[in-house]
Amino acid sequence: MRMTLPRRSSVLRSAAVTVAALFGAASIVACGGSTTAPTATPTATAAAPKAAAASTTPSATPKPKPTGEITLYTAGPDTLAKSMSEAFTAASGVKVNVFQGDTGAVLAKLDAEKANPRADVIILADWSGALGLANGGLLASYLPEKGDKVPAAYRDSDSRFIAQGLTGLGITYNTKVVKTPPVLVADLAGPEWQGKVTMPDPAASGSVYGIVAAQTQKLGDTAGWALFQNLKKNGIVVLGTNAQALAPVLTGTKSAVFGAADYIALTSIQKGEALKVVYPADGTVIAPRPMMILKSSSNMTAAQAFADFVMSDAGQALVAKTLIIPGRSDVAVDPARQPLSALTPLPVDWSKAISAQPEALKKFAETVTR
Amino acid sequence: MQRPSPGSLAARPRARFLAIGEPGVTAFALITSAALLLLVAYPLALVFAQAVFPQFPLATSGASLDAFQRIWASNYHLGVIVHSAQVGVGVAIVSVVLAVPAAFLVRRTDMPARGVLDLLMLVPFTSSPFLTAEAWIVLLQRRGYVEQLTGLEASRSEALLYSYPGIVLVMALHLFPLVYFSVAGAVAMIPTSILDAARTSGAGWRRTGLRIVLPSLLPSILGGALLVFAAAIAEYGTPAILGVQARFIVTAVDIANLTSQHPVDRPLAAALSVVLLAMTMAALVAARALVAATSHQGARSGSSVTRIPIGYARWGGFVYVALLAIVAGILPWAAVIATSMLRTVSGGLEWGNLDVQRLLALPMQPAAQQALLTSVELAAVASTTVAILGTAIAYLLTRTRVSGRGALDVISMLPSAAPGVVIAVAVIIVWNQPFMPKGIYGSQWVLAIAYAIVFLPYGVRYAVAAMHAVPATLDDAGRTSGAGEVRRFRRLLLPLILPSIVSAWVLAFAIGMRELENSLIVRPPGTTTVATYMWQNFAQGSVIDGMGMAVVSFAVTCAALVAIRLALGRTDPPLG
Repeated sequence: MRMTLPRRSSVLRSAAVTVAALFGAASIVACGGSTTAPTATPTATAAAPKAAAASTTPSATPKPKPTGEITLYTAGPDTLAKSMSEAFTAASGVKVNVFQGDTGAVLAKLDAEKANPRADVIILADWSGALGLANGGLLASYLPEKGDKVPAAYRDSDSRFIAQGLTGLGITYNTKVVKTPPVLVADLAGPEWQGKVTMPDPAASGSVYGIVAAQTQKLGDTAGWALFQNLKKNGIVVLGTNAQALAPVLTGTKSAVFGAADYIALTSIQKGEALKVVYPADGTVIAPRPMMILKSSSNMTAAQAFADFVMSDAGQALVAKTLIIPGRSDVAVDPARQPLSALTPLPVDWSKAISAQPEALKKFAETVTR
Repeated sequence: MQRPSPGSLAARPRARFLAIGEPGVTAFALITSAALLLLVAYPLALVFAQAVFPQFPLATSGASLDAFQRIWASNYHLGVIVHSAQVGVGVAIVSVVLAVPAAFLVRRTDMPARGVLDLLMLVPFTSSPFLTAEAWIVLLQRRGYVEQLTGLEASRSEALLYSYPGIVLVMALHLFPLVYFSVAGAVAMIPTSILDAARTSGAGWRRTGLRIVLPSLLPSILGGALLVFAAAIAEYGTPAILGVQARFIVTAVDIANLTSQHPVDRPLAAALSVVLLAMTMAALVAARALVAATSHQGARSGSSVTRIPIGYARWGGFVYVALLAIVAGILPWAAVIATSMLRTVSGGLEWGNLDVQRLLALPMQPAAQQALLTSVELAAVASTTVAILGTAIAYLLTRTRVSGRGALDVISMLPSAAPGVVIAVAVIIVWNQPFMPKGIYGSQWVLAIAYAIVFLPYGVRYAVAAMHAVPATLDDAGRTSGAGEVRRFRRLLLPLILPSIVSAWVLAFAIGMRELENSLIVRPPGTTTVATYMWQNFAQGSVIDGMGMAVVSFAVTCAALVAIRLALGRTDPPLG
């Protein structure tokens, strides 16, 4: 079998024809593309008054019965997505189409579908992601029933998104290789932790970015960044997602991961892995996991009913089962984990954090990741 | 290239566009081009559009080359592009060095166990790049399997793994089958008479190899190396996993970050993709120049081709190819299989930590079965589409004189240089438009379209190579005997190229069963493939179940491939 290639001059000519054709096609397609944008607005204008009516008078008018189906994009655990959607379908008869992926995949899909949105409800693990969508004017304003039981810090003041769950970002370590457990984050800069610590990437996760923001907001810029510089000097490795940062700790190759969402480690512990989670007093951050409804939703009634269900007793109990702290403060956590009251979290001013995010991420990448 | 004999198809005066004298060919050319344009050119055009129109697809205002200027002005992005070029060239060279001797030994000499080893050469390609990288980490890291089983300290192997040479080695061990299968066919076309003539003229093995064998293999080597280069610069999996700790970022990782990390910057991602596509076109031109600079003899029809006996050297050859098969294919899969049978990851490789029941119970779960069925359906449909379309394009390229067909060649090659996330976003933008047929984007079949785009370069390249190997004189004989175009194709060409088409189908099917990047983003709600099932498990910390799914999918893929091989017989022409 012989692979032959066209002559050089004809390749160049073909390449020129191709590029010209592609640019020509791009212009034609671009002109066609701009006409699709207006079709998105009729549904938005139809949904907006409904949403406004629902949020301003929640109890005045009886809610219409939800029908049809909705589409849920979620970065949350697959098990929770399944159990929540099945329970909701059983309770209301509304079918839920679930797309579950990493926060990155969900954001990429939402962005690519911008001209013709498909999703109704979105659940992210990333508070800054929610703020980004809200600032882009894509979210509907709706406070779910019992949503007022969620502390004000964990829901948007304009009700555009609300935390359906919370995770604590502490330190997870391997009990087989660690003799003296870490107590404070600053311990991880010590000699016995040289080259043995990992951390998820704040660029990949807004929750982890919350750690960076919290430290700089609490200690001030110089001392805050000094902490991360010390960790870098001590050989900390920044690995993409929660799971990627946790994997070497599972095998014992690394001793500890700082800043990974606790529910993943807690679930692994239930399965018998040799891990332990601690919440250091100088560095635990609470990461709220927001739920939101897209303005472009074509089934607003059912979307709001779903949001109500997630925040109901039944829904929050399902959240608790996955070892995530329920967003509502009046719902108990699973006995296998510590409740929110047992943690002393660092506060995060999220709006300040969001505005500083691009610069901070750049500095983190240059200081620690690269 | 053979000098065209007078009166043959190739020597006929250039026909005018669309007027070859057989209107069937015109219609055929139009339909094939339309299919290619819709499937491939339209999404790729959107990538170009995103780079130039920053608001695309919502608005087409503000056309600017700002994205390209930002790349040029940034040391980081430029450095990342240089890294990609380094990876592409490095992986291509190592793949060629590994694959060419192996292909010659297996397909042309009397090396023992060549049948089995030939089958094993496909194994490295059956795992997704991400899984291969994970397997090597699990093997070579501190407290990894090699350290646990042999007691050898792993700090040096870990350092090698997380470095540029490590990345190149892992990727080359994964991609070299592309060169292997490309060269394997050509190796079987070198007439034995020429080799004998060289021997009787006094040339030793080295001289014969350098002056006769290599030049005649050069087009197939370069064709395979080109596919490897494009695949290497577009690959996300291995550089994402190994490159982060090696502090070695490549463009594919940069593009994925820009597409999926907040704030999403699609114009910049699209501009970087255009850079990768340009690099591939440059490689295409360079490869062609290299081939043109060396002259070589083509195969003459009717010359005999036999296996070369190499005496005791065949045992050395056996050791080499067996080692290659073990290191590239068996070792990583052994690590995956071992991990899938553990009870806990932290328990390590201990007899007390085994839980084989869990692995065996996995295929019984409905979710796993659904994922397997979906993957098999999608891979089969996409591979068949690509086999048909690829053959049609190859026919247009090699057997007609339709002008502008060179553009088809370049367009069908380009998807191999686009990272999966770029194709995924383009496919969504194209098929999510309101005027597109309703049932496609919302169903699993949009994934089949994405897969077909990814496979098409392989389908076209293998079909073109196969058709080039069939001399034009055969066509002419058919024509003078009175057979029409369709009859000539069905009775003369198709039986001869079918083995190569099947090879391409098999390769595409193997890729489809483990395709990850497109699947993660393009799949509609409710659809899971084996790769996304595996990924979802990894993302939630369930490493063991994720590896288990990989093992089940591997078993299914291998079973399917062995069945096809047995049903259709060997894909290379039988040698005496």
